[in-house]
Amino acid sequence: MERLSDDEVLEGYFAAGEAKDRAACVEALFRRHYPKVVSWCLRFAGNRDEAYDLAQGVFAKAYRHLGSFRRESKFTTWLYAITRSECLNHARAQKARRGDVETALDEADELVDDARPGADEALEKAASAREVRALLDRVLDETERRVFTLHYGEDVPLDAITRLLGLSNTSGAKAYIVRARRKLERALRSADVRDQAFDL
Amino acid sequence: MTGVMRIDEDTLRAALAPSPECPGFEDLATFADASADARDRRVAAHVSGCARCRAELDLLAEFEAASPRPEEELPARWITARLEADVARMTGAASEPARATAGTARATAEQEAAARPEQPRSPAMDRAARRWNMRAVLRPAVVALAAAAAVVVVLNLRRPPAPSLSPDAGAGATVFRSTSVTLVAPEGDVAQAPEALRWEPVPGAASYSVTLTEVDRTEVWRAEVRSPEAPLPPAVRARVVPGKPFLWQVTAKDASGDVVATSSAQRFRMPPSNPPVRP
Repeated sequence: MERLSDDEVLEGYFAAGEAKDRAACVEALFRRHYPKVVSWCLRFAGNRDEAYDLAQGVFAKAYRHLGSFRRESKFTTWLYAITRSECLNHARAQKARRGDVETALDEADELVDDARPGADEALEKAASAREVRALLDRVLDETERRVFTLHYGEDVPLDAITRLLGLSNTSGAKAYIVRARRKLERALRSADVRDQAFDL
Repeated sequence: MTGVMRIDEDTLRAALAPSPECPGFEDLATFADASADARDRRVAAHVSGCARCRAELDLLAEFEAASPRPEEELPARWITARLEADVARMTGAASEPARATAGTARATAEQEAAARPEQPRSPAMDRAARRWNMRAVLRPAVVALAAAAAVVVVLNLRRPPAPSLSPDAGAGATVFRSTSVTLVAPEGDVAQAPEALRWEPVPGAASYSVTLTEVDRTEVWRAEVRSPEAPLPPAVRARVVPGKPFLWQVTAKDASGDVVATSSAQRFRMPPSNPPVRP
């Protein structure tokens, strides 16, 4: 069974008449994907025991729902969807447990041009998510965008992002956030200077 | 973009949440699994301009290539041994070979535990154990053992938790590290079209397969080389124009052609030559 593709093992699983044959297929299929799921869970959780809990949840869910897997995507894609969901739920629960310290830190570090607060507020309301997305796309590099997406889009804690993306610099994802926000600030200031010049 | 804009936490969250145009994860996964010529063009157009969706696809690619890093190998072995035993119990009617594997896994886990009696058990592990061992716990003989184990657990709970993985394990230069093959250059914004793709040699690798793609994974160029460097042909370099990002990835193979390591996808681009100026 080791030489069969995922699709072929799944064929065997769905065609099997006896429980022991289905069990053999499940075990063979899961065994080949333990490294992926375990690595992912270790990076999200940051410690062995929580990672074990997470990985166990992933395979329990995969086992429960395998019968309804429609095989419209690759098995690994389906397994990733489960892993992603388990890990994100874990990250959100962990964040809720320990309080939103990172948010407080971020808010203290807002990119504000305090010289013109009135104008800022009016313009802030006008700033659409689409414009900010375009700015992020234009100003940030790919790693900074990944860090931003995981942190602000998915609520993944910075230490988990550091491990997940294999960031080996001293401050990990936090350094990317700080650097990216400075880049955004510079981009906004230069846009402001241009606008003032044209206003004249 | 108009004038000074304040970008606070909420603005960033709104910008990086899925937009109405973003495909759902299932559609994105279907897009990722399809061959380049069978991909939905509407999704492809969206992905090329959406940082969020590109990040999702990159993470999926990372997952596909994921394997434990050196510092993760010990905990990964510990977890895998338990998962094998768990899954064998979960499937119930396990086949003989599977039972043997599960038995080996359990034995490995037990030997490991015996060899490291100082290792604490977390409440998470105990919850997991309760979930998976319910049937065994119901057996009278095991009830006594469980009670003894509970005493051990209570004693162990007083000890400090298992050490966390260091966020900066393997500290070094600021790089986006690959899973196995470490890509060197190009990465991020580059001043000009790169003359070659370079990575660190992999022990045991006899050849490398290099792929250059657009961000929607449409293949641009592929090469098989023996050294950890692949010169880019002039025709390919000519396609590297300002503002257009590319991804590249390397697979290392041994002498018999079997894959020994794979890198993550690394992005590079020449930044747009001039920012747009509004009238």
